[in-house]
Formats: sequence, C-alpha cells, structure tokens
Amino acid sequence: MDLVFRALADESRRCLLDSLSAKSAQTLAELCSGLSMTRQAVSKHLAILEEANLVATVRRGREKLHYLNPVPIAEIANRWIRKFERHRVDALVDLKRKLESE
Amino acid sequence: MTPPDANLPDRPDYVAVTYFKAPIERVRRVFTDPADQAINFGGKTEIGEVGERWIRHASDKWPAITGGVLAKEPAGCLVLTWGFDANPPPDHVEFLIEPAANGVTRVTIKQHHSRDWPEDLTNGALQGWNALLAGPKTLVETGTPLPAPF
Repeated sequence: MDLVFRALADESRRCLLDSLSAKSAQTLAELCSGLSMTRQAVSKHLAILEEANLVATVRRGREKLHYLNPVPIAEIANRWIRKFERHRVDALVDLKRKLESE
Repeated sequence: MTPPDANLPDRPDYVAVTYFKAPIERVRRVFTDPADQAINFGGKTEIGEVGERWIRHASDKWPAITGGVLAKEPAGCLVLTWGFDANPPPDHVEFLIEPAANGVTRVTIKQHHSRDWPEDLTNGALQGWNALLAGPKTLVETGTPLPAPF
C-alpha cells in the first residue's frame, strides 16, 4: 500500500490516471499527446504507476496499451469505508460532482 | 500472455490486475472448485467444458448470468462469453492466473465489450467482476470468504 500512496502523491501521475480513467487502452503516444509532459516524463511516471499496480498493461503487437487498474484503489476504499456507509459516500460524491459542475 | 482464442478482440475495454499471497494451485482451485465458485461468482455456478455453456444462477438481487465457455487453456486461463439473458451478446471476459515472484499469484481479468454500453451497465458489470477478484483474494489469504456483495 506504501507504493500506491507514493505513486499517487504526484499531480502528474494523478493526471495520467485521470486520462486513463477517461479513455482506456491508450498507447504511450496517445497519453503524451493529451498532456503537457515530455515522453520521457510520461514514461517514467507510468513505470512508477505500473510498479504500484495502479496501471495495467496489455501488449498488442509492438504497442503497449495502458489501463487504469482499479483494484488497489478499491482495496483502499474497502479498508476504510465500511460497506454500509458506501451508498452515503456515493451520494456525497455525486452531490459534489453536481455542485462543482454547475 | 496472448489471448488463447484468435477471435478475441486484442484490445480489451477493461483490465484489472490483483496479486494473491497464495500459491497458484490454490488460486486456480478457487476458480474451478464448485464449492469455491459458489462464493466467488456470488451464487451457484456451473461451468461446462469448452464449447459448452456456463451459468451463475439468479439470486435475490441479481439475475442469472450465462454464456459460453470459449477456452480453458493454458492452465489457469478461463475465457467466457456472458450476458444477463438467455441469448447473451458476444461480450467476453477473460481470466488469467499466472505465477508472480515469491509464491505470489497474479490474477488478471480482461473484459471485451462487443458494443458501446450504457454507463450504468458498464459500472455494474465492473463492480461485479471486481467483486470476483476481492472474494477469492480474501478466501485464499484468510481462509474465510468475504460476505457476498450480490
């Protein structure tokens, strides 16, 4: 879990996860085009995210497709958010999203 | 590992990976032993041989899930089609159970959607398959099953 928190403690890496959350199965080139980071920086950040299991990859020919792996974040949620509280938390998250998008 | 079925789309829509602190034989049993399957698939489950069908019987909260069995090879691999009705659309889910370092086992779930899904259905399906990872993990690592989320 240390690896997960360390990987998440960086705005650039959180942006990469946002990008993968919005669109799955991106190649390195696709990820780079959407962000103002160099290819080397994106590559380095992806390696850290992969090591923390926050990013999963699938090889397709010579390409490598990247996916947001939700399991470590789900484990964090399971550890601290009890099942019966979850629907209330979901309601708050929905409310926050609604208010902030207005 | 490449998909065992050449007809499978090679660009899954969704991939989830988790690591089990347990030997690969134990993890495989969780997905193949009928008693363990009932826990992990959230209800009584029957998985036929390749070319046959599989079904997770309906529970109080969930309709039956059914589909075809596409592959069981190599060992530790299970490829199913699935849907919520008797004539499921050709959506695939692929389980891969592979050894990682130091007695740890990696389980990967790849989902291939045949068409654009509405967001709520996608989210529901993802929660279901994620629960499929959490249930066996708890069972294998602690010896007691996680309460079924279904």
